[in-house]
Amino acid sequence: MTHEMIQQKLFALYDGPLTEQERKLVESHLAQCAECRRAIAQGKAVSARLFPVHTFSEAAEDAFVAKVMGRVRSAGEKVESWTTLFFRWMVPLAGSAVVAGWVFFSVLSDSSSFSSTSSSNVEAAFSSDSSYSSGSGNGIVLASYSSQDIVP
Amino acid sequence: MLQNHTDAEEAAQDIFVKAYRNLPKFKGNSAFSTWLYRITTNHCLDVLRKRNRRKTYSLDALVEEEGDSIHRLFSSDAVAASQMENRDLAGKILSTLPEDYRMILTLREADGLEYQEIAQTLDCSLDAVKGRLSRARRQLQENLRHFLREKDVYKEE
Repeated sequence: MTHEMIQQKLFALYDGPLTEQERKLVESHLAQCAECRRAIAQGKAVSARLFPVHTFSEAAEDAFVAKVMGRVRSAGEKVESWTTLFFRWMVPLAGSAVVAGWVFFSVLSDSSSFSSTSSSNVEAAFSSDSSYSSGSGNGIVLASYSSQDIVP
Repeated sequence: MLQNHTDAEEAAQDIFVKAYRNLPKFKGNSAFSTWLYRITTNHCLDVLRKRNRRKTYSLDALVEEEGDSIHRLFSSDAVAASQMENRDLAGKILSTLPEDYRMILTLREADGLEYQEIAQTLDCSLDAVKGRLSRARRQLQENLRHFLREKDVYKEE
């Protein structure tokens, strides 16, 4: 293995992922090569200065955890408030819209058949409705129909 | 990675909150730590990209501004500065490197990840990790060559 090839593997030796054979080769080269020993020494010095092992006090760790948990909780509350809002308003609104839609379209479909029938048929159809007056106009008939026969 | 302690702590909070919100998306295809590191690297890159429009250090500017402090940092017989000062100075020195070099050095040196874990975190091959790490170290040592006096370096041994 040449000097250049060893240099490529110098830090692999330092980091650990060399095969046993490679490690022996690099180590025997290091014993004879001042330049490579300097490179390793410089690397270690840089690493020790720029990446020291950080230690945090227990109080600092607790404070950090408290801050993160505070943010997680407030994020949770925001989500919850939207959820609450959804169930409190959107579900009843959606339910009402469905009922209103059903009433509306039922009335429309029935009123179209209603318009095609003669008034006598209408009177016959509503003869069971005690509130219906034969003298009423179509509007009154519709009102009576929708309020008493459709809505439970 | 983010140069100073305050930014790093704020980013750490953001990352944990982000991880909490995205927990349902974690499918267990990788180790949980790898997933968390991936969120971390992406978040840090986002922060750096936003900040790059703000302030970066060229090597010359840093040496002019902080040359004495860097000498002290690498001088074995000098009185050690506070941990916080050294941390911020280390961040400035690393900021003279390209983002991807800074990232891979941090994952290896500060977080102690194995090559395979780095490859998974950065979503690249093992050979790419070895190559990039080697180039990053060479450039860092080159940037600091005037500060690495032999007598101090060999005291590390």
